[in-house]
Amino acid sequence: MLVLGLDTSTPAVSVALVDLDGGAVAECVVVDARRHGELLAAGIRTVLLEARIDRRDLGAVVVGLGPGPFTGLRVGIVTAATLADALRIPAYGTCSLDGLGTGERVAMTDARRREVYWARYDAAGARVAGPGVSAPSELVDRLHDVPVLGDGAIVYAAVLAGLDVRTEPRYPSPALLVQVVAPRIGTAAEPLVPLYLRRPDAEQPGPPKRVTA
Amino acid sequence: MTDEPLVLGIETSCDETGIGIVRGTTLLADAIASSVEAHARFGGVVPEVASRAHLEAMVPTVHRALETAGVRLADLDAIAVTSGPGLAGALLVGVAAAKSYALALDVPLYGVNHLAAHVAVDVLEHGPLPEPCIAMLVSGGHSSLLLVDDVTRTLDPLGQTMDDAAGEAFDKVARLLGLGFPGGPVVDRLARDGDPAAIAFPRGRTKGEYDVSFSGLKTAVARWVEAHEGDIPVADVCASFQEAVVDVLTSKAVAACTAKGVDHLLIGGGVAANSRLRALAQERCDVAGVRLRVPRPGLCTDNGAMVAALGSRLVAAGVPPSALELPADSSMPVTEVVNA
Ligand SMILES: [Zn+2]
Repeated sequence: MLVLGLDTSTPAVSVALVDLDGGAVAECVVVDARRHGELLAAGIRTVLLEARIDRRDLGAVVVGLGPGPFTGLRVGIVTAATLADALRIPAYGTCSLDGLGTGERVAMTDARRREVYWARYDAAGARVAGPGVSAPSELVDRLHDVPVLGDGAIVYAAVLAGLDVRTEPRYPSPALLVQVVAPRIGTAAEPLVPLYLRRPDAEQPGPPKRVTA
Repeated sequence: MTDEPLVLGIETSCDETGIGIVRGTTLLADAIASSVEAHARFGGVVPEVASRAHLEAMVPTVHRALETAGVRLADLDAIAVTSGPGLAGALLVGVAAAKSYALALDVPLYGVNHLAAHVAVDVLEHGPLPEPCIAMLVSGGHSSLLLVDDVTRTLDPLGQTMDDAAGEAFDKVARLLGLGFPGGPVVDRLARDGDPAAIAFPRGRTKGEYDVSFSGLKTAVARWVEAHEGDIPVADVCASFQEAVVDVLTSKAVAACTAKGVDHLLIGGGVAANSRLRALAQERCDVAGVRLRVPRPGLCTDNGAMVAALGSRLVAAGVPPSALELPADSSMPVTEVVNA
């Protein structure tokens, strides 16, 4: 079965076309934090053209649900939801960090505001902690025995000095996300709920002056 | 393509997820999911709250519209979407959804100007647009006076607000009086029991002949309320404030019609639902010999039908569609009807 994988949880706008029996068929990754909305649909068209696959031959869509900067993250999720709707195929989501590296690791992406989004995985690749959002300094004590990777680790390399920080991979792989979700493909699709981890910034106004109605 | 194209319109520029379906100039469905209640406790629209709500509402609202219209996605001839102006993050959800539907259904995509859509919607209720006409668009997000020669090509901006949008002024005054959000409907209702001449609020001065300004008026209302001793006569404040707003808006709109020799005035946007604005505009248009057209309130507020209506006009006029790389443009100029 041909499955389309998408992730927009980081500055990378990432698309992969995966044959579940034969691995990645085509991939299109463009790093541009401000243009997810412009680039994603075009990226999907590109991988379909490259692989000479008709969109109607897709069997499922997989998308990274974050965590990640909200505006870009939503582009991937709404694209997956509507594409699946229009093609009448199921859509599945998973934590975007699941596609960042393999095996035992802590995966980190940049959450801005001097924080990282993170998750910890065991040797079998199962997520054992997170996803969470924290200042990297708060995580340091828990990172001494494990490879740390992702652009969050690279951006805050100074705070993580002395740890096993890897420079690659930097962003979640959409093909890996498909592999992570593969066992669920064919089961009933669930709603795609973003992993925001933070509440919207909004302040409630103070009470108005008393008046008669 | 047919001159009666079946178009789905997506509108997410503010806090309403609007999905409309139009065949030619016939409205088939206008489904809306509003997040206004989620914003009420903040006294205004919170962009992130709106964007989250758009994502949740998108697919269910599309299906509500399809069911009402009795059509399938596969029947659609084109997808139109508001690509600007509006809240950047909110627009992006609609634009991404529109691209995905267009790509999956292999139909043309039109990224359209929200203000032009407010003008085009009137065809659904009153038939072909009288062109040229003057359009006054007044809402919580915009106050614009436009000369419309051909809504499928470009709109010529004559004037706009220098500060607050008309609807924003209603919201701010309502908040000041503790009347809740949104402010327009409640101020309109309370003003009916008040005296519009009770308090002489200022009519904002502007450099541009057709520009308007409401921040001085809002400040004047705040000062008056602050200085007033004893219980505040809310009905009189509402009526006098509302009179100041609609006096400025209608006098400038009718003056523009006269100066440009245009005999049709069209009013759109959420503030077009204001009963005093409609009444005074009618009165002044009658005097000036101008025909007034105002769509029903449901079509004046932000909705998907207006986007579909404009999309349908664009298809019929043979306007080239937008590229799949279409950006969401939060400050899209009104001179640009379609984002190429
Ligand atoms: Zn509007």
